[in-house]
Amino acid sequence: MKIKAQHITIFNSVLLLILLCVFIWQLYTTYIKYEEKFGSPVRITKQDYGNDYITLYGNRFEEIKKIFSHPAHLSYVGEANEDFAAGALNYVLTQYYLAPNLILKDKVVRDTIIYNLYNSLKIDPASNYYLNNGWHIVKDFNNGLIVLSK
Amino acid sequence: MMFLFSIGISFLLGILSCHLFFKEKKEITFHFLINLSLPLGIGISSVIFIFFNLLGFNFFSIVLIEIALIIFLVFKVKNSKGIMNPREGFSLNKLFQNPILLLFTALYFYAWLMDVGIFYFDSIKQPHGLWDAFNYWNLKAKFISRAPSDWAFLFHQMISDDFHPDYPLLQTGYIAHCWLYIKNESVWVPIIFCFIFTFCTIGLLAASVSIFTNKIKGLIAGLILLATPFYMTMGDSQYADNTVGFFYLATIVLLTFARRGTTVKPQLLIAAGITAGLSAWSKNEGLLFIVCLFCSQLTLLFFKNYRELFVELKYLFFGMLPILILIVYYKISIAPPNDIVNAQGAQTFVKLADYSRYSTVFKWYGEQLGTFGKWVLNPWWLFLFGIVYNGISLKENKNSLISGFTIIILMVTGFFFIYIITPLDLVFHLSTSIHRLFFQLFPTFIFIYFLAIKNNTAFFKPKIVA
Repeated sequence: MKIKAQHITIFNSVLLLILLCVFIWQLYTTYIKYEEKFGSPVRITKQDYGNDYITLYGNRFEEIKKIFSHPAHLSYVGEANEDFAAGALNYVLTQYYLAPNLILKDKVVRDTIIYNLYNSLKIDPASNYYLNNGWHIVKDFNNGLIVLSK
Repeated sequence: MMFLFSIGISFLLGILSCHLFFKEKKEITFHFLINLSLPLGIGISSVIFIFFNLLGFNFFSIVLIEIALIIFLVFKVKNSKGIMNPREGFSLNKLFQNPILLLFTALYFYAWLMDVGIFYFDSIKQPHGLWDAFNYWNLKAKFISRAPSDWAFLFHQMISDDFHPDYPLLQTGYIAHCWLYIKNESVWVPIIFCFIFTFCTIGLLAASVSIFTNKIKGLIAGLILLATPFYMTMGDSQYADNTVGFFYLATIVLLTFARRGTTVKPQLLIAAGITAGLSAWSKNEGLLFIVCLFCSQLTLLFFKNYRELFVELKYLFFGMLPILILIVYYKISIAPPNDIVNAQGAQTFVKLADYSRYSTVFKWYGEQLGTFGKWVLNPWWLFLFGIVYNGISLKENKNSLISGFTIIILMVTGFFFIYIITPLDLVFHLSTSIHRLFFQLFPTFIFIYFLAIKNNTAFFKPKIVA
């Protein structure tokens, strides 16, 4: 019994030592990834804060927010040939910044339409379906965001 | 300033509730109390805010209701048999008497400070969080804070597949509640919310293991979470998985407390019911947790009188009932149907009979063993050795251990079958969620592991110096 207890104590001591080494190794590896940031936190804060993609994307919506004083239902149109992931992100961010207006990307066409043309920036009045079917431009914000209404 | 006031109100709600739950004065430590109270109070605040908002109360009235509830709880605590006096969990003298304890304490604090730094740097780099944060939780918080009287109507019309308005509202509701307090949609509110849940889970785990076993094991348990790189990533991404994971852990810990000793403590069963209800108010997986919680208790029929067990389940159910009513009302009257539930039909049986789906899910489950947590060297085999060599102790906390282990098995099985019948592309669904689902259970698993393992070594036992 005594020998068994000694074995268990030695085994657990070794186990604890290995665990300690694994912890230290893991913490060190994680630290190395952030070493530069820990070295100059003030500079990193100034450099990163407010300069992320989503915050900068939101700057485009400052003006457009002002024209919707009450929650409205808007149909959404993005870039014509955008890939699925980019299209989904731009749609979601439009909803994120224009809440509580409902931005709807379904087959029902509403009286108010929002265009988010983050690449092409402009719509072609000659070929645009909506402009030729009773809608007109309410405001073009000159950053790819254009509101159309019937 | 107003944000601090808002958090302060939630903290008071949490701490006063804990005073009513823990009547045995020396049962818990300050470390445990703080880490349980703050998220619990936040959960209660979120429920109160959404409940009274749906009843048509304006924001100012809801704040007054919260303050009135605090005053009521203060009187209840004053009239209870004594003021709770948690025992001191940390003593410098004890620390310097045990070099192993000193070493692990130092490592724990180093890891904690480093993780706070990592959380800060990641948060300023992505202050809006990642996809789930800005697409679900924070987006819906914007709806509630900008249209406090119309949001329910607007949620009903949102596109379910894109924005999942059926997701529960604990995180969303609390963020909106704070934004209304400060009259500003500061990105720091969701950041601090997630910080609280991430670090309180670590604190609650370490404190609970420390209470039920010993301090070194408690520190090791906390260190496992602190050193797991993906745990911090999940926290600063502002996903709700840490939130729901906290409430799973709190439920199992409170159940263990309730069944500790010779008699069952009903007030702690009610508390466990509340935290289980809050898990369902955090994420839909919480509803599965509640089902698994009740099913797991049935295993105790082998060890307990069924009448006794029925009374325990009754208290548990009473605790979660008000929150369940709110969830049911929200799901039926406000939210559009859940995409997974809504897509079920004849296709479900086809999927259940498709063995290739089982093989795919098994493969992903297997892969998690090697990659889970994104460690440089996965330490799980050390824990396996620990349990094989030391054995399992069922002497103390037998009922909690058996039911807790059963919950984990049932949850993992439940997740498995959700993947089998999912209407989404299976590989896409697995790749975007499996690690997060396992992470929700991870703190609870660590707690149960340390509760189960035999305390054989003198290493783990703190030295008692006369």
